[in-house]
Amino acid sequence: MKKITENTRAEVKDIIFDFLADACEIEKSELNEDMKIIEELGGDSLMFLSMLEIFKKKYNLNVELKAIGKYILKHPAETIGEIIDATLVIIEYENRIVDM
Amino acid sequence: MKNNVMADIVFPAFGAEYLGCERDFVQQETTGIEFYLQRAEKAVDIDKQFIEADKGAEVYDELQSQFASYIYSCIFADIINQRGIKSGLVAAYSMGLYAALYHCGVFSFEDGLRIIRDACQLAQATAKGKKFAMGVIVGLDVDDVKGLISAHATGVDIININNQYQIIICGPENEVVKIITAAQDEGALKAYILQIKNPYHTAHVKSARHEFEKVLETYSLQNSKYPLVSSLDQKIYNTRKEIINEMVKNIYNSSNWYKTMEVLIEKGSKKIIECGPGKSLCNMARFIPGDYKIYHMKLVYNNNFNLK
Repeated sequence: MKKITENTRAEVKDIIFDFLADACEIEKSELNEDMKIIEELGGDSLMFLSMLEIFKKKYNLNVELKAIGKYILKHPAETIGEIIDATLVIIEYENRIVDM
Repeated sequence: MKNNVMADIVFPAFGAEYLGCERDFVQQETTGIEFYLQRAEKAVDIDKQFIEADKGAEVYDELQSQFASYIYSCIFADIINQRGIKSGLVAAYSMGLYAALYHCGVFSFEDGLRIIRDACQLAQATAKGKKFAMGVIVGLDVDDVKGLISAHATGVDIININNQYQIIICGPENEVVKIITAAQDEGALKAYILQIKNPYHTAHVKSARHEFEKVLETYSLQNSKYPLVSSLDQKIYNTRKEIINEMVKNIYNSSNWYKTMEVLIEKGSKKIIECGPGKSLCNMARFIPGDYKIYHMKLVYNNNFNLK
């Protein structure tokens, strides 16, 4: 189980903001955690997958997509803040998120 | 200003989310959308307000949505030509085929609209009295989805594989709903129903094929100016006969966009333009690996048509 610190959250937030600014063609400074990725930024579920790929490599995560899908079904993530929080749970618990 | 750039050109289907700036681009680069709409009005019954409103993802009427996507795609194709971008291979996602064939010089702008109308009406007539639906499943692989279909539903087919993680299904509405629910339980990241009701790319409209073939023979159709990579079997077609066959099969055969893109990449595609409203094909390409870059129309404009 990985230990999540304030630094981890800041790092994850920064990566997600960079990714969304690029993918949604918006200035990073215009993003905030309350924004809904699909409705407000024109994003899609493939963006979440792209971000997952980044985090899987960065944190060497052992987590199956299906486990994440089952977690997201129980804990829907629509805003940037919710995606950050879901990512932190995935980093912390990896495949065990399915039991949460 | 003319450029000297070669790119492969891919055409999206209708129903994609628009970028929101399509109409502005058209106004900047051409004499305006009105020129095309006037021609379209003379050929078929179009809803000008809907088309001008840039609301591609709102499929309130499948035929009008197809018209809208076709018209914008054709205008962008004309702009690309005028700006001197040389077309390499051409491919189309689903009903984007008609705009691709306009770009390839197979038929006129007006005949493309008429053929879309005929195909849509034939499909609707064939499916009449039954409720169909299309669904999207994200995050499960093809074998997972095949397993769900065989375990939970009848008459549902995989009609397109967009990339490693995104699969489109179609069939009777109640059966598709069962698969979407089962996919969510199985761990799909996202699974939902699309607004499209015609069961394109399935055997449910196969009986329309002979009538559609007869209808196509009434149009003036030419050989393709550019090699068309079929999204159905990934072969390359040029001749009038092959193109007619492709249009007919496109109504009731499943396609595979992932494999189509792989063929483009294998054949050396480095620069690919998504020639139509929105950026759905660019989004799909995120999970289609290869040494290439794909540009939606906004990127093409931002690069001043140089594609660097």
